[in-house]
Amino acid sequence: MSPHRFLSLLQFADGLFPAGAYAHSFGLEWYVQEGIVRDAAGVKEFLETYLESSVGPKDAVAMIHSMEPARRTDLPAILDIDQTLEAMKPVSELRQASRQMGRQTLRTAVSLNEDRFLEDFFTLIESSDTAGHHAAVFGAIGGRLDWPRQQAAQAFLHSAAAAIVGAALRLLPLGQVAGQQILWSLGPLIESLVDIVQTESLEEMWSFTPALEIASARHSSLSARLFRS
Amino acid sequence: MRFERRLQQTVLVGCRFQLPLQVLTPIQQEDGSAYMLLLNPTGGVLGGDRLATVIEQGPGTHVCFTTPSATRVYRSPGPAAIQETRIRLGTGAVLEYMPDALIPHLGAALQQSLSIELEVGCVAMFADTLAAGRLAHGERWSFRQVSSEIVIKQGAKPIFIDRALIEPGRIPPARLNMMEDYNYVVTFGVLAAGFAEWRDLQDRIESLFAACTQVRGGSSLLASGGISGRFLAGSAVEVHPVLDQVWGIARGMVLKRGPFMLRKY
Repeated sequence: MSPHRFLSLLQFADGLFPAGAYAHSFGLEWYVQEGIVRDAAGVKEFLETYLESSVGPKDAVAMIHSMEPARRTDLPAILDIDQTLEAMKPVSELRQASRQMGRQTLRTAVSLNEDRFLEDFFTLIESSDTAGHHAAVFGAIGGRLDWPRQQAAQAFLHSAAAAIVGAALRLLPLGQVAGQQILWSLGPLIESLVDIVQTESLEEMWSFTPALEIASARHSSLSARLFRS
Repeated sequence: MRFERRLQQTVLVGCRFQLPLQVLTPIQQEDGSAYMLLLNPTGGVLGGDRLATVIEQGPGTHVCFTTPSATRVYRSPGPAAIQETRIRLGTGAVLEYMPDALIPHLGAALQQSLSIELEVGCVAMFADTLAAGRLAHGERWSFRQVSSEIVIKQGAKPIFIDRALIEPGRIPPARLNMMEDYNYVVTFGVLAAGFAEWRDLQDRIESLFAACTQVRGGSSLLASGGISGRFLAGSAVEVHPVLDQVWGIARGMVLKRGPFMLRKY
């Protein structure tokens, strides 16, 4: 991997990247308002299940499987993955969050680097011919920029965790150091998930977070909200 | 099983079965629909079982499927039992698929799948209920593994996929974001071509959940039309009235019919 490849992966996984993750709590806000998540331990527990039973076995697997088709410019294969993700995201707020982040990420990607494949993908998203879920987009960009699978999976899962920690810092009286401690503590879990997601097939993608999905479905009924999900 | 519509009635025109699955004579309803019990007289699923149910509903048919009681999955040290149900709906067919809960015993392992293929103009209402185990025996999340898949396709396009893998020995389901303190999870969905009042339907279901404080539930509109949701409950006694009401609301709004009065015994 050339230095630029590594830098591009850092850039796309960075919290400063304008994917729009800052606008979403992915259900955490409901848990905080209900008084179920109240401290750093609660945020860590929220994140462990979120990564291990949702983002890891579903989105990260989809992301990994989007890389190779992008390398060989197989757009229909990416669109199939995108369609599967759309069907696997029944909760409207979570589906919209994933779509919005995917669209924003790809919009930025095509503005940084001339790539006909990514431009065609973006055109289909803009014309609503495909949903443009974040996992499919991130994997497609990774394939085009030749990111190694393992590092791409690490970065994808880390950035998903960092987005939740960022939301937690705004929802709870937690300091920056506490946020970094939560992220640090998740390192072993993320490493183990990276190994798993690289071996799972698309047909094996799964998630089991019913309480989180219910929290996300009920989020829109909260009387005051900081986040869109 | 193959159903056709004849003289305003849905009739079973072909069936073949092999024990431990059994097809009973459907009960004709006054509205022309058929009511069908999916029977396994052994009372449960044994390790190594491979149970496949294939249902073809012809154009314009309307069938309500349920089970006589909960499906027990017995302890198995060997390979997971497999239970597959494939349902294909012809143009304008109506499916109501409301089996009782799945109860995996201590040490049980099961792969369960439900596949529903829709043609144009179809209505499908379904529910899937999973219990933590035999709670009266002190079993809670003590099965080995349950993998459960629901795939609904409109033509070749997947419009709803719910695939879960529950391995309590690896990831305890009682964790935050999963089942927490609840013992039952119900997944339900309603898909109906031509129906436009999804937001009203969702509002009514959400009002029900708000009123039923013994369960925690939520519903959402699907991307390609339709609604799905889940609710968590502590016991079977809490599940049934809420699920009956969700189903009743959907029946009333989508089919313009009253609640279905299940006769099982």
